[in-house]
Amino acid sequence: MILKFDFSSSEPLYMQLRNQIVVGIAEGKLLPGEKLPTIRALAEESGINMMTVSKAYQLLKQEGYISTDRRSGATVTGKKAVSIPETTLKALRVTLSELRLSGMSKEEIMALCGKIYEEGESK
Amino acid sequence: MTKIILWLSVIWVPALIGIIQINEAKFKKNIAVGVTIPEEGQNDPGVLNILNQYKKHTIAAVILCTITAALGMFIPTSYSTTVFMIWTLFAIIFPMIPFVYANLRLKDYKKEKGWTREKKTVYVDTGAIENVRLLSPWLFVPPVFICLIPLIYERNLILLYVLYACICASFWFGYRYLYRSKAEMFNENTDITNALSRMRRYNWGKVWLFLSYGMAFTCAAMSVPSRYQNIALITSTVLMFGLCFYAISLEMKTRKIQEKLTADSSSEWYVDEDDHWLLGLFYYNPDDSHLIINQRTGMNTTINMARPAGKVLMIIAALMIAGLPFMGMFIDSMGNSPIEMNVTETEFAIKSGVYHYEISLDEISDTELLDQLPDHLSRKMGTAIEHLLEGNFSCDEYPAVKLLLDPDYSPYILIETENGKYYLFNTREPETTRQIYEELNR
Repeated sequence: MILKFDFSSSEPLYMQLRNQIVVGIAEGKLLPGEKLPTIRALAEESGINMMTVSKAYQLLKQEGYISTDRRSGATVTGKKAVSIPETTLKALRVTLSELRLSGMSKEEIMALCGKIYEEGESK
Repeated sequence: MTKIILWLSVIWVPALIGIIQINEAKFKKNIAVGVTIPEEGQNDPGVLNILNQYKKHTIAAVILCTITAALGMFIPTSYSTTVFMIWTLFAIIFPMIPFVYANLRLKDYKKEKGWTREKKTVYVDTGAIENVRLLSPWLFVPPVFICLIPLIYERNLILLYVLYACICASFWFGYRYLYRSKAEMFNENTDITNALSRMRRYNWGKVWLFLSYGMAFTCAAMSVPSRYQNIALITSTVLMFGLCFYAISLEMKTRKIQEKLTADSSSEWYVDEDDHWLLGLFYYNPDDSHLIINQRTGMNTTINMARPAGKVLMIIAALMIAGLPFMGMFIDSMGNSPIEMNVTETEFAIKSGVYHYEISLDEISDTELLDQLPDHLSRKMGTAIEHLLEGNFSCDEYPAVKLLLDPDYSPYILIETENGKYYLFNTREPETTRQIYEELNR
């Protein structure tokens, strides 16, 4: 899986990493049981700080997407998230509001959501 | 003669730099002259025109550098080292100008053609991150011992051999810490990324290991008895040149493989980090926490100038390069400084520039006036320029002798002290040298 870090984005780097891993799991690019790079290796590769990578991994662990072990590192759990995080719900509300304000109807929004969902499945 | 040897030892360097520079016009990982161009643009007439002009400009720069070196060899001046250093500065900077010019032109053309990709972005292929197996530090231990072997039969230059041993040991640190273990990502093909990374790391280890062994054998060659000095000199010169050529051939081999592996990728997606490379030469990325960065092509490394330590190192390097002419002036002033000898009631003293020796008259057991320098005189540690020999030398007769003299002005005073040390001195006025010799014998 290819991770992309946009340094000019207003989105924090740890969140960029967390989001890409979540999308990667949902789209099947990261399979249950698959090992993620160690914090040190990922920091070395990307040039971003180890603390930033660690923060993203901590968040993913809290949300139940990955499990960490001192010996084997971080592994994709394949389990569903324990609950939908508050930040996700907040982001969904903002996105839906933006789409409504752009003049889209409920049906159009649902169709768009369905299309994006299927794109993820097909990958 | 020394001057001609000095110039001959470097006159071929611009041609070598030229070969390496011209190689920059070939696309490796979609990069030529430090600019990333998508595959569809690599045969664009505009791109080819800029690259062809770059090659012509580089050849012109190389010819000019070589001609100026040939002229420098015959300039009659007492400031020959200064001239040499000014030329070195010129030879470092001048061949860079065509590269920078081509880089800026190609960047503009790329922008005009709309080939620019997302800015300030870094990509990581999680499948290409692997546990790196480093060469064992034990492989670097034998060269350290080879450097120390001469201590068994020669104790006069302990410092020199220990210094060589430390240099050999430092090559492991160079191998280990001057390299950033980063996947050589070029497009989304993980297999190519892994192949590029492994090949580069393998060659990187090989070059440091060979440098370490080469340095050790050079040190061993230096320790042979004076009567075999010519053989030692030839051996160490051949070794040093051999090592340089080996390192360069590995660099070219790495580039060739990079070129082959990344040609015809037919991939729409590719990595473009041009934004982080100023003029295609200097890495500047404040978002990268690393100081040591791998260059995008070849196997060299460079520093991240956005890091505070990177800025300091770059300033030091710039000052050192800019200071070359001043260093030349300093060396010339040493060679042009008068050599002054003086004998008081208790002491013999000799001084030239920053160098000086004082020997108590009570310590002197014997003196001799030599019309010729001893055979097979060779420097072990010190200065050996056209008009000044200073420091520790050895020759057939005396395994260790300290010198402060101008070899062009015979005679020379040989002093032996009670503790078995030998010294050879003169001044640039033969009459003064004779007078001092007589005063010493009085």
